[in-house]
Amino acid sequence: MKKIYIVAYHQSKFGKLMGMTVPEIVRAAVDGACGEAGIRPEALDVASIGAACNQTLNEQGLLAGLVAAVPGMEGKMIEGVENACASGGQAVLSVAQKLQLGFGETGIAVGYEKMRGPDGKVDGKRIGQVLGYYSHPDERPGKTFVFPHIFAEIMQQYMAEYGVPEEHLAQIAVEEYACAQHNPYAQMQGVELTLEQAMRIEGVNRYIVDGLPLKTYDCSQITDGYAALILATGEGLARLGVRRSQCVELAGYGQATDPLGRAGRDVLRPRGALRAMQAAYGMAGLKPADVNVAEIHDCFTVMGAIGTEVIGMAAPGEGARFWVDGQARVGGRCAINSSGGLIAKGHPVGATGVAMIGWCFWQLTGRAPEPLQVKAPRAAATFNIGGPVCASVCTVLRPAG
Amino acid sequence: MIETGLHGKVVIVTGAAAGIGHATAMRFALEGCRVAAWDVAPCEHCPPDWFGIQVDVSDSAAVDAAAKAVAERFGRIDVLVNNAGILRDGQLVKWRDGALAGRMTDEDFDRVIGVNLKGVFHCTRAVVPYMIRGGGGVILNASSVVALYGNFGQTNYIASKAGVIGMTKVWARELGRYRIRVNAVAPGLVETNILKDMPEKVLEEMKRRTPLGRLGRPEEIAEAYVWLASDSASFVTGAVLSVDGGIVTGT
Repeated sequence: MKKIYIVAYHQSKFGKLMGMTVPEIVRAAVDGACGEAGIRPEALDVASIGAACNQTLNEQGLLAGLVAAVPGMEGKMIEGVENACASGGQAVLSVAQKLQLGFGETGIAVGYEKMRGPDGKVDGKRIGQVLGYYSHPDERPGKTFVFPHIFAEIMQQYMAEYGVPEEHLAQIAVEEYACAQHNPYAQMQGVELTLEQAMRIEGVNRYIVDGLPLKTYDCSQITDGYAALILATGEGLARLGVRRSQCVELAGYGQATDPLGRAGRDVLRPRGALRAMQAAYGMAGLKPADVNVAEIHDCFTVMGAIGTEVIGMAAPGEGARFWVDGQARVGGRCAINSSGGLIAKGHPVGATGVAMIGWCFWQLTGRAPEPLQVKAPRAAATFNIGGPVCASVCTVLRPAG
Repeated sequence: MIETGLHGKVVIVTGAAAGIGHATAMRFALEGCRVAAWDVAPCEHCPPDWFGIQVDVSDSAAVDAAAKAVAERFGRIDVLVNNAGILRDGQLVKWRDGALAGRMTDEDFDRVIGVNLKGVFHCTRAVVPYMIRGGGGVILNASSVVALYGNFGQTNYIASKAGVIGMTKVWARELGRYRIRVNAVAPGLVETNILKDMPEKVLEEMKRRTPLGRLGRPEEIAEAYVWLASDSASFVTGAVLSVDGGIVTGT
C-alpha cells in the first residue's frame, strides 16, 4: 500500500464560532489548511468532510457540495461521512483510502461541528436530543440526556467491576484542564480545575443522573470548531514541493464498528475499538511501548481510562491509575491528551477525530505549544469513537524523517 | 508550494467583517498569513483564529491602540489593507421646482471623509513605525473607480477616494527608503451590501457600461490586494490598479 503523509494541519480555536455559517466554516477550514501548507485548493485531488449534527442543528446536508464550493475545489472526488463522534477520524481514513486506491495523490480531510447558536449560547435540551439519535432506539426511553446517561452507567460499571474510586476518574479531568491552560486552541484555557473542585458537588458540578457517579466535570464540552488535515502520497509530496522531513506518516490505521446497542456486549473491553487499535499498530509495525504521544476519546472521564487501556498503555482496569500516577503527563511514559482532550480542549463532534491526529502532527513535528511539547516524540496513537463505544477509528503516526 | 513571500506575514485588514474586506482577509489566510481583522462592527463571520479588534478607524487614539495590540500579539506588522469605507450619498445641492430642495450636509461630508480618508491616514500613520522597525512592509489603500471618473451624488465619497490616491503617491515617495511599498486599488462595482440600496436600474446601467458585462465579486478585488502585497509586485509602488471589468463611468 502507498504510504500516506500528513502535510499540514489547521484548526479553529475550539469554543464558539458565533455567526459563522456552515459554508463559511468549511471555507475557512479548507483555506486555513492550504495556507498552513503553502498550497492552493487547486492542488488537492480528493476530499472528505465529517460532521454529525449538520442535518439537525445546522439544517444542512450534502457537506461535500460545500467543500466543492470553495474556490479551487469544484469537480473533484469529495465525500461526506458520518459516524457520530468518529466522523472526523472517518474523514481522514476516507481521504487516505482514496489516495491509496489511486484516485489522487493529495487530499484534504475536514471535520467541523457548529453546536452553539450565533450568540454563542447552548440549547442543552436540543443538543441532548439530537445527540441521542446516535444511540439504539431501544436504549433511549427514560433518558433525558441519552449520552451522559449511558456513560454514567458505563462509569458506574467501570468503578464497580475494577474497584476504581471516583477520585481517580476525576483526576483525568484535572490533568486535562491543566494541559488546556497552555493550549491556545483549547476551549477551557483560562479555566482551572482542582481535584477538590472536580469532586465537590457545588455550583455547576452536579450528578447528571441521580444515583450514578457522573458529574459535570467528568463531561466533555459543547463546542463549535473546525479542523482540517492535508494528506498526500510520496508522489503528492513531490508535486506539492513539500519536504518529507516536515511531515508525519500515517503509518497505520484501523476501523471497526460494534453493534449500536450497548446491551449484550462488553463496553469496558470494547471489541471493535481493541481490534481497530491492533490493526493500526499492526499496519505501522509498532507496539504501544514505541508510542509516547496519544490523543484518546475522553468524551467522559471513564473513556479516558478505557481509552488508555485501548491504546495499550495500561491493562484493563488500570487506565485511570496511569493518570493518577502521572504517567499520562508530558514527561510521563506517554503524554495522553496533552491538548486538553475532549474534556478541556473541547469536543466539536465532527472535528474531534481530525483534531486528535492534528495535535499529534504538531507534537511529532515539534510544533506543540512549549510547555506541552513532548521531548523526543517517537510515535503517536489516536483513538476516536462514535456512539456508545460503537464506531472506532484508530491511527498510529510517526515522524516521516 | 507557491512562493508569494506571504506565508506567516502579519496582515491587518480594516473593514474585515464583511464584503471586500472579509474576502480579502480570507484570501490572505489562504496564503498562510496571520490576520488581524479590524472593523467597527463585531466580526461575527470571522474565523476565531483571526485577531479581531473592534475599532472605528476615524478614531485616531483607538487606531494607535489597535496597531499596538497587533504588534504585541504577533511581534510585527507586514501588510495593512486600508479597506474600511462608508457611503453617505447625496447631491451637492438639490434643486426642485425652481427652489433649493436640499444640500449635502456637513455631517455626511465629514463622516465619509473621517472614515474613508482620515481613517486611512490614521491607520497608515499608526502601523508605519512597526513596518520600519521590521525592515519593510506594504500599505494597500482602497480607492474606487469613481475617484478616477467622478460619479453623480458622491461628492464626499469621491473626495475621500481621490484623496486616497493622493496620499498613496505621497507615501510611496516618503516610505520607499524604508522598503515600504504603497499602492491603491480602484475597484469597480462589486457585489457587496454597500450596493443594496442602489436601484436595480442604476445597477443595470453600470453593467451596461462595463465591457465584461457584470459586477465584480469581492474575491476578485482580494486577488489584486494579495498580488500587490506579494513578492510578485516587488517593484510596484505608488500605483493605482483598476480592478473594474473595464467600466467607464462619468454621468
